[in-house]
Amino acid sequence: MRPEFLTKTLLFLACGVATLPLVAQPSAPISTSASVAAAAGASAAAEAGTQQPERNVSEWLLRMHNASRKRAYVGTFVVSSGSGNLSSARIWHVCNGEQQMERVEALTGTPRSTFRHNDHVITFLPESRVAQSERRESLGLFPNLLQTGDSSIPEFYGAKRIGSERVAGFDADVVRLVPKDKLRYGYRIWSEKKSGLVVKLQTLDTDGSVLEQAAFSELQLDAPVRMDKLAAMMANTGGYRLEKIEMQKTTALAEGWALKGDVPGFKPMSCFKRPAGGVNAAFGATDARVASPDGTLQWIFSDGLASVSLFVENFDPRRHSHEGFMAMGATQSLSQHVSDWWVTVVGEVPPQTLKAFAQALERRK
Amino acid sequence: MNTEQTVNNHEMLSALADGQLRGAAFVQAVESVRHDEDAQATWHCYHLIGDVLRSGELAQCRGDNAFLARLQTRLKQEPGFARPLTADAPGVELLATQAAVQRVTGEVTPQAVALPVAANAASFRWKMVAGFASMAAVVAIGWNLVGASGGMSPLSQQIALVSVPTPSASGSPVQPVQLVGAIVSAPVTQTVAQANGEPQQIMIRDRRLDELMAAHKQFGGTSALQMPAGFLRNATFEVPAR
Repeated sequence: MRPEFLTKTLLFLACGVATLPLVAQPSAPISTSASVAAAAGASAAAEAGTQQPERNVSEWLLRMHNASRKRAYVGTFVVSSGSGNLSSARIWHVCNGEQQMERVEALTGTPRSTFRHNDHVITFLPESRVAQSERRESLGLFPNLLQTGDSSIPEFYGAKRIGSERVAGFDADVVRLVPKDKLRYGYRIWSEKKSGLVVKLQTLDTDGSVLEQAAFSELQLDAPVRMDKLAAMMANTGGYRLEKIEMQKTTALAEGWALKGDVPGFKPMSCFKRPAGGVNAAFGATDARVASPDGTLQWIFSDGLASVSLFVENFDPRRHSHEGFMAMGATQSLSQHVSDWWVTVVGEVPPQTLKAFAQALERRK
Repeated sequence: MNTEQTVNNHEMLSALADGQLRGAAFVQAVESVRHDEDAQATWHCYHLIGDVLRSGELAQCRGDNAFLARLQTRLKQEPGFARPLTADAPGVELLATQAAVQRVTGEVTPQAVALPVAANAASFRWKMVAGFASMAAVVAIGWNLVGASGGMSPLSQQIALVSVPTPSASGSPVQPVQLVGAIVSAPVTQTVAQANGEPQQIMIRDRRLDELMAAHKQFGGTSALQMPAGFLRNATFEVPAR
């Protein structure tokens, strides 16, 4: 061999060895074997492959949450329940620093446009010319909890990446959220690989069957959505009767209700009292027969992923005749007559959890 | 040769009567008719035949009842016809003959024409087959009906979605209802046949439940999955009961 060639080979090998520390993990031992550059290269590749550690459930959820706060997108969102019902909507989403704007144009059922600006939500109903405005405090709640590690999600759910699939034109990681007990449902989430945006979400029954699926059928990331245009549309309530949904915030204890024992994982989040009166403005019912004259109490629980609402109202034999379980997609509900009260428990949880809530409820006053 | 020529003549006359001849052939045919009496007789005959065929009124031949009677007797003697066992129910072939006789003789038969009976009506085996088939059809349809509503307890049939005309005064938009009726019994829930989203199928009780569900979605949506999937799902999936 000619000396120049030998020199070049040795230099090449030396460079290869030198770059090993940059490729391997800091904790991994640096391969110092200079003669087996190929083997070193292979081990470096293997380390790089396993380098991405398995994210835990909080990390996955945080990533998914942040993804929607950083990208603008336009797409068609489809929700279908296991029983075959299908609803779809057209979505525009734009963000500008901390400002988030969203427009949801429902394509199924009554025509309605929902606009959201951070936690302020307005729903336009063109058929009845009504615009309903409300503030949803719950929307900003969870990221903080996830970041500070305060939520109980990791106690009750485990996350596992089970593969990758292509949804709506994007490659996504399939993440399975496995509940650790039978009191909650599991989920399968398709999280877009680069940004973490949730492109498909399945709610799974205790036996693994799909109760409900919500997915983008087509998605355009980084679409040119103009925030000022959306804001203008949102503010344009001309010709609409504006209804403000004001809910009286209260505590369950003040209303005289408490839970005998905790349903594992579920923490009380908030409690609202619906305004009393003939016309139940909060529900928007114009039919006086279904109004609740004394005000219904809504007590909200959550375990981080699933939420349960406990509705308590005065028992009225004319209206409250049917006890039992009902289901609408993944949402289950239970209605029960408890002494003088009519209790309705609604949530995306298995029916036995609803039963546990109904049984744990007790009157303190 | 003579018969051959006759045949040729007859063909020519026939073509002439049908109007198929042109030019020289036409002239020749006309000349032959003019000068030939046989040809004229044939010509007359052809036209008579055509007229009788085309119009039934001309086919009045009252004098041929004897022929028809002979024909009927002969038909009866033919072995190929199926014989009805009941003597009073007229067979189809007898009816046909009667109709033909009616047409030809111009007589109006006073008796009413009975409905034709199926050829195998008297055969008991086929009656059994027909009865069995109709019973099987009834069972199949009944089974379908029962199966569709099977699993529904009488209790949930109360809330089974029935078309209720909603009061027109209520301006609330109709709900595409996806309620699945279930049965009350403590630990076990059974989901029942899905009701498809037809508008205006809500009873008052269910509307209240829909309202509560909507309220749950609005204010109870405290979930880490809220953004974007949860919020979008809630905005998409159900119609707010408003």
